[in-house]
Amino acid sequence: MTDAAPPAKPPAPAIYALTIERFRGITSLKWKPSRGVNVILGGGDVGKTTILEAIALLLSPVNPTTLSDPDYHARDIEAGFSIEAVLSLPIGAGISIQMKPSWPWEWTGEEASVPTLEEGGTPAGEPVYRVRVRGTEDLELAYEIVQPDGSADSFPVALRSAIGLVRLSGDDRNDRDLRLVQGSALDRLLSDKGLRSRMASELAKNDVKNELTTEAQTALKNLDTAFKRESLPAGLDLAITGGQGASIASMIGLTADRHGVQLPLASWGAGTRRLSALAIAGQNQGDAPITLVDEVERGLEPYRQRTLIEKLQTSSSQVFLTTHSPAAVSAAAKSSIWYVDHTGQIGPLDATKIAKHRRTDPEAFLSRLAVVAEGATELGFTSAILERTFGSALEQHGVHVSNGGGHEATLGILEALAAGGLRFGGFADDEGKHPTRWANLHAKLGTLLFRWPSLCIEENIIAVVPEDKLEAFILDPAGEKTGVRLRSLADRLGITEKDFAVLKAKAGTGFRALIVEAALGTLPTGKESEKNEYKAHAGRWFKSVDGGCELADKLFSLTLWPTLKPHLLPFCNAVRTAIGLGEIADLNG
Amino acid sequence: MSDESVHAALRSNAPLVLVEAPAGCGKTHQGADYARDVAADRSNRLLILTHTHAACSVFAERTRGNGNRVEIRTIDSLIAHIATAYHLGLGLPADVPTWARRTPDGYRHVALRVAALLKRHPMIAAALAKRYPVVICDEHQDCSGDQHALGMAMFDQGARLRVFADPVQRIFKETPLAGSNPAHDWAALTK
Repeated sequence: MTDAAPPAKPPAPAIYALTIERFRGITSLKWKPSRGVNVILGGGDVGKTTILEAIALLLSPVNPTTLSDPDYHARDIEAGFSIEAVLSLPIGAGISIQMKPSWPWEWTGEEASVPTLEEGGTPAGEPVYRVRVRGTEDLELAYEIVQPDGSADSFPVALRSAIGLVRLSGDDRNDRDLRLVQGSALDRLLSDKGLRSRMASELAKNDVKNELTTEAQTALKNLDTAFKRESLPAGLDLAITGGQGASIASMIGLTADRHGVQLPLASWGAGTRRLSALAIAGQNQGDAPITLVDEVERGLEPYRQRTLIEKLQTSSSQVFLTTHSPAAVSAAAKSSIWYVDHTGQIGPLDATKIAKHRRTDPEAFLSRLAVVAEGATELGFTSAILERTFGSALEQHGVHVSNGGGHEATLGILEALAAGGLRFGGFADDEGKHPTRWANLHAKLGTLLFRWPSLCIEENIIAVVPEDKLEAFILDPAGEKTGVRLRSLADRLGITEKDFAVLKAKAGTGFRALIVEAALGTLPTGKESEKNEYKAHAGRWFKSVDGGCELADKLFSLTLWPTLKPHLLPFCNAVRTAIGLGEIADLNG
Repeated sequence: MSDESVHAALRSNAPLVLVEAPAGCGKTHQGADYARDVAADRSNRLLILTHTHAACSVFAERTRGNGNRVEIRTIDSLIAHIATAYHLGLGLPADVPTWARRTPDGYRHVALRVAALLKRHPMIAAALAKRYPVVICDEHQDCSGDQHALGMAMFDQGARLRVFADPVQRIFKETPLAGSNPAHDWAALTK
């Protein structure tokens, strides 16, 4: 668990476990969110918003009438769908005053289980309730409370409304919480139950008939005569009668002063509308409704995103929030961070293990598939190879290559991600360290994790450069580094001349090894006093993002690819498969 | 206790009131009177626990018109209800009342298990206490130790308890089942 957030005050209702089966794009999802703020990250189209919509449907304070076949996974209506939550409810949330008594389940920390007489040495778990909504094969919704004996009672509107739900959706037109729609934040705040009927009778007094033109009045009179002739109810008049669709109250919304004119709050910008809805909800004393925020950045500048997240983090409400905003991700320091991977599974991102990475490269957690590369060279190399794999820019496919910041740090990040059951890519060396930990990662990630069979990227590539292509290999295509590379070789040989032929002759059979040492910035024995100078050699060769790209390009310009293809192609295809593309037989040269 | 002092005590904020009086002193009348007053307040829900269906009928007659805010049942039926809800955890079949009727000492076995369940999981009594903030226990001298434990579990979770008992009448004198709560000294409740 990633309970970074301090436990909220117990009275707030909270979802302890959520199970979604066959709802819209989600085939099957099981999740145990935290009590505080849950930030859900992931690339586009992975189902983040669907998770929020599932919660909204389950706790809907009204009976939604419209279900359509896309609500059912793969439009398979016969199979139905189901959204179930294990809820912790404050005493007094209305569960105890339902017509039929509802019995609590015991929360084990993992699931809701039937309380038994067995002691097992552990204290009894806290009470939770199981509620669900099912989409039936008749396109109807069944709201149910599941009892410990397996039977199901109704999960009525009144109870859903008492639990409370505030929804700041990504939909620009959605302003229900600013209106007197049943169950909205404003409705809950005012809680004036008689208002609807009083308004209806007030409106019915309006004399519509006198507003009519003379022709229209005549037409109405003629209709009345016709009614009499047909023995239908007569004495016809016009009045406001309400409708089958939106209730009259839903046409009433908050207005506010803008330059001396009262204007509907709904006409303000999206950001203000969302903050207003939250402020209304916050006004309900002792009320901590479950809060859904889709795309927190919508309509909000980075500073207002931070303010909003700060506010949510200090409230006692359980919050579910999606975002694509790096500013929001870095502001969510006290939240639990979750990631929905490309397979649609949701898992925790361990706050402490990924904290640094979240600050330095938040985009890694906003992509569909992130590949964590060990260092700058690997970042450049992997990006270049994958671009050839796709034949187009990586962003277009929601793939993001991230710099893991060294061998140990990369291993840590990959383990943290894999612990959440998430599928990520990795690209790393074999430094001969932590064989068991790497083997465990391989077992989880398969070919999405690339590691050189032994040693590092420079060593593996330099080893396959044919003798007659070594000079071309040293050549910097940008023309800048060729000289300093030859100089680094000359320094290591202790000579001043830096002509390729001279260097090669002087090094003899050790020439290739010399190139490797220079490229890695190895410190020769006896040169400890010039440590910094020798280590700096690496940067003149390939130890940079550009250097990694250069290595990737040289695989093809020097036709080294066929030799390395058996190692690298399975990784390229694993990335293609992960984002839903077919495998390819080879990369384009 | 005089009728006036009983009347006042029942309506006090005291969490527990014990009304001890022999038969014929108008206990049922006092109880039903109080039940009607409690139920008249729309925000209250009241549970009346009796020992016989006949006693249920008497209370029902006296509190008629208060709809679903008054629930009257025998203590055995409430125990069977809890046992049915949690039968999977108690190792009982789904239809607990039928099982209890067909098994020797069936209801006593069910009460034993339910009392243990309530002790292990106070949340169940808490849910009941929230549902029924006021509980009237009629003819409490007839309670077994396990039946008494149900009332006390709700009391411990904040329900207000109004106990009516006749010190000279006690119908059930059988030895408790092994593992049962011992027959209680209800007279010591308020001491």
